[in-house]
Amino acid sequence: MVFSQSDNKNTQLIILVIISLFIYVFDRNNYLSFLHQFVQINFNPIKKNLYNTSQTQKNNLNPYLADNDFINKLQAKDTAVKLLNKKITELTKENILLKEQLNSPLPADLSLLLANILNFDRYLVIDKGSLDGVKKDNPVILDDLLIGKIISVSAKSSKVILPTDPDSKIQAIDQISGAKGIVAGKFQTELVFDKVLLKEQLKKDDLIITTGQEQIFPPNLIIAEIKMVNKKESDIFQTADLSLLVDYEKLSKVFIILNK
Amino acid sequence: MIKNILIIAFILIFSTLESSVLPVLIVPLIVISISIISHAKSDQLLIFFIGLIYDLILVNPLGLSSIIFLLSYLLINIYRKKFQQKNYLYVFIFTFIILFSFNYLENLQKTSLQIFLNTLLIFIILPIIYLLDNYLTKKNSYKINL
Repeated sequence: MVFSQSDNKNTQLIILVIISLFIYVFDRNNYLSFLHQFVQINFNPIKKNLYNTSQTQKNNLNPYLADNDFINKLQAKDTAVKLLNKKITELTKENILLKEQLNSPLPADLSLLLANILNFDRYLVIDKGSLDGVKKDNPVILDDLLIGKIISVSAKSSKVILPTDPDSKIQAIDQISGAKGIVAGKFQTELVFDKVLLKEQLKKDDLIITTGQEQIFPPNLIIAEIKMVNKKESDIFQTADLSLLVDYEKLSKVFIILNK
Repeated sequence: MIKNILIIAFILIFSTLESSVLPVLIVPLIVISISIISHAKSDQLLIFFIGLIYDLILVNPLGLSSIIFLLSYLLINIYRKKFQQKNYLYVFIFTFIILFSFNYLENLQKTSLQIFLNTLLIFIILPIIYLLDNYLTKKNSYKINL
């Protein structure tokens, strides 16, 4: 039998595709998690610094968001002092965040884990994973605001699905009227309070909170507030457009609820 | 060998940037560029390893990017003649299709407009990879002649 060079080339290609498929299946069954763990331990600190630097640069580009402390820091010529200031600022922010979280009206027995954000694209990528006790479906919060829930976990990082994601559906109630419905994501940026009975009273600026019935999120976590109510007498349900109370792009730290 | 090490170094840098600050798909574009100018059998192995590195750094299921990249290589190889004629429209359409499939399979939820704009970057990355490949190939051939 005579094989041409292109036959050989394609044979190698097919073998590599089959090896990739095997690797994919092995990884799906968590046999290769040690590889993810090794890479994440080494790369997560770099990613975290890059993300934080980009966030700071974004704020500097916008004069209205510029932090006076940060400008003063830039003016200081001593590099050592600059680094120290940066460290102090970070610790202060973290301290304020922890204090705020402790003061939030959530049950005291919740076990919270502070996580840094590594990336924000479709999902939030955070620097805590299965080695830190994070599990799939753990809620992610900031103060008493719902940020999302964990949808995939690896050794040292996890992905968080946000309420604005089209795949996200959360059972919720209007804090004032008690009207029940479902908060669904739209176009990655918008939220809709859907499946609310026509007889229920929804008003602008009402807060929409979690019910806790799904056994995923604790009750009374704030999701968003009502921006506009869409009610037609001919429909079975009414809907409301919601506005977010937090800008996900500006987040740098969040809390994961480890026990529900 | 030096070319492969250099490309792997670039992939490490760009994968890290993509996983933290860059909202564009640079590594898939580098792979498409390598596939277009590829003339060695070893490039398949390089693409396989690029896929694995990319998945490890971006915390994707391991092996998924390798499969997509290798199938893209195969697709480009089938239509190699069209690419050798320097048909820029072909390059654009192929890149768009590959990025679109990549976006769908990796569940990235990028809009068609974002993918379109991302595709335009191929006209920056392809010449860079082409020049790098030419430079390193020439350097190698000088060594052999000496």
